Amino acid sequence: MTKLITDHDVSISNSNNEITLHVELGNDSKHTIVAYYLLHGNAVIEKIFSSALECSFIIRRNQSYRVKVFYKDECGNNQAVFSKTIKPELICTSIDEIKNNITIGFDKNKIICDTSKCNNLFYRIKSYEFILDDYNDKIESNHSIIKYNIKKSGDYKVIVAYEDYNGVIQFVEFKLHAIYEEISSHLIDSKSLENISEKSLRLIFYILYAFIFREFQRKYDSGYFRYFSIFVGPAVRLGLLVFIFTLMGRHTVVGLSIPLFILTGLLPYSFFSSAGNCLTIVSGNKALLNYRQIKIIDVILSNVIMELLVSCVVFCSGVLVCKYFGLNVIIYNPLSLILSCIVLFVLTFGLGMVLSVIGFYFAEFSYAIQVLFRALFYLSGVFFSIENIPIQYQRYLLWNPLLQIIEFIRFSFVSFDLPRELSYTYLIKCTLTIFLLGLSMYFVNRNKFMINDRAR
Amino acid sequence: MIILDNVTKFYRVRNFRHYVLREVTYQFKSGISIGILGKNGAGKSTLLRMLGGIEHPNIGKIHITGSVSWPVALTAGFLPTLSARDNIKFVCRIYGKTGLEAKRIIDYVREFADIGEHFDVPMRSYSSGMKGRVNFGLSMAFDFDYYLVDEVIGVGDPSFKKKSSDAFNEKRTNSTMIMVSHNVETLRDTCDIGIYLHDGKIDVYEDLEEAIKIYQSQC
Repeated sequence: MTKLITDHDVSISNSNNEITLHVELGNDSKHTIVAYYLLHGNAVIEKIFSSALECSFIIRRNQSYRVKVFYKDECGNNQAVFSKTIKPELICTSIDEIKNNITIGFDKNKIICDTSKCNNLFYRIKSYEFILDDYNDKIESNHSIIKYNIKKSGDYKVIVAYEDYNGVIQFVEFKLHAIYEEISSHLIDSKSLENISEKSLRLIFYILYAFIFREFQRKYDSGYFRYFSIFVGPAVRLGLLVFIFTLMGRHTVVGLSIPLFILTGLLPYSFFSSAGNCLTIVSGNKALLNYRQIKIIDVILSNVIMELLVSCVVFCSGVLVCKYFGLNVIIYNPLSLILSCIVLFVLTFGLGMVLSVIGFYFAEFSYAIQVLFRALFYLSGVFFSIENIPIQYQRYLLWNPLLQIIEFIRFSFVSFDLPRELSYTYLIKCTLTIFLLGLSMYFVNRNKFMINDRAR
Repeated sequence: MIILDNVTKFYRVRNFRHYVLREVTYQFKSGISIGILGKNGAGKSTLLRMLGGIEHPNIGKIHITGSVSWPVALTAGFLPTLSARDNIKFVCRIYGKTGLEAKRIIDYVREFADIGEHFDVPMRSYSSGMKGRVNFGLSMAFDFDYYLVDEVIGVGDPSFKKKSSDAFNEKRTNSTMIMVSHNVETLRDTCDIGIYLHDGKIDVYEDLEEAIKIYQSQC
């Protein structure tokens, strides 16, 4: 076993303002150095973590120093040894030399004072003082660069106070003529103001990204089961409906197999009904409006986009499962499918805006609207097709744009022609009306969302 | 620079108009930190939110050049189900800070708030003081030209008070503080001039002490 390091093995020396430490280890020694602590008395001044046998500290004060060396012995135990105490004699730098090393500059209504060049010539900076006539401003700081905003033109006197090696406070004085440029309101042209108030597209992208990410975390990130639940809800509803239809002895509706028929009805409906979440969106996200760049419309849009993403994932996996069980899934009319999805998205977004305003003014209405959404489940052809309805009642049901969208999505999966009753023109007109209604309701009320509840 | 241009702001309370500002024109110069004083309900926080571009005046315009912080208050837009880390990431994203920059901000706030293991726990378990620490640290991690501060300095234990006033003084060299506080000492520490807000008017006092004197005699 090698002997432990004793204070005879540790040699300490100083030159100028550097303390150098050398540890003597025998050739067969298996100790490893861990750290060096520079101490004054028992107070730690600086730590260096290193396994080298030599190490040096820069010192800036006339006082006694010693170094504690931490090491691990061959068994892995922590050991420590102190060096001898030394008291270096530092010679203080003259004030003139320090003055030469400090730079004072001036830039855009700011005085910049830079003492970083002479960091090692004294112990530390105490304060900066800026004096104009009889007005003075003292900043206590030990930062090496400081920027000071001026408010008037004139001959400034800057006094930098520092502590030298002996702990004596010394003052260095500078004189500087600084000019304050008034930035008057007339100089700001209206164009640059507009640029600032306009959000760049990039920022909108960042905000949407942040929101979608956050919504995901809020809804699903509390355990793996929540991710699983994205699929479980639709799967259970789908399974029940398929089960009932099979009990009734049906195998196809309008040429579609039952699971696909239900899937194409259920998912557009559940996506559409997510607009109901927008009823509480203003009250729920009010605190977020404290961030200036966030507007309620960002929250609505990101909510809708997230629901779209979830619905698409569930729909695609549903279709794949159908395919896996040998059902016939062919998209005969992809353009119709894409158009219907876009229309559904715009419709949901528009309705979301309408509902966010309604929910803001009439919070008590939200219950009635939940009931309406439930009624839509039965009226929107989730489990029937318009073809099954007696012809004299079809025209009433066709007022419902959601029913038309669901039918368009369904009929893009079958080879024969669309029923004549469905109309793209009506659907697009209806969607645009709701979207523009939502947009105008939002823009009229957007500034009121932030107002206190007491002053509604 | 923030310019109030003939700004009128009122709330309708039971068919009466409660005026916060009435035809006010004033220019908030950069570099001069301002303390806003006034009675409860005089509209100090509303004024602060208008300066931040969150609320809009009924009449007139507010021109804002330069970046303005969110109003730093005890209650913030944090989602209670997420941890402080995730909430901070969210704020970084909406300010377009990603990657290393976001990491620097998170490290800074964690060190500044000094709430230990709570940093990765959902924020619903936080006390209001802890939320204030995180929010204050977060605002200090960004570089704004204007800081809007609503009664948040001077909360918490002495060590945090010290830390926050240090950070604040450091920011002061490059930014302008606009501050609402009932605590006269904090105003004295930070602000250069004072504004006394009452009856829809703002009285500007070049000497903060004068504003404090008026405030203490009136409220």
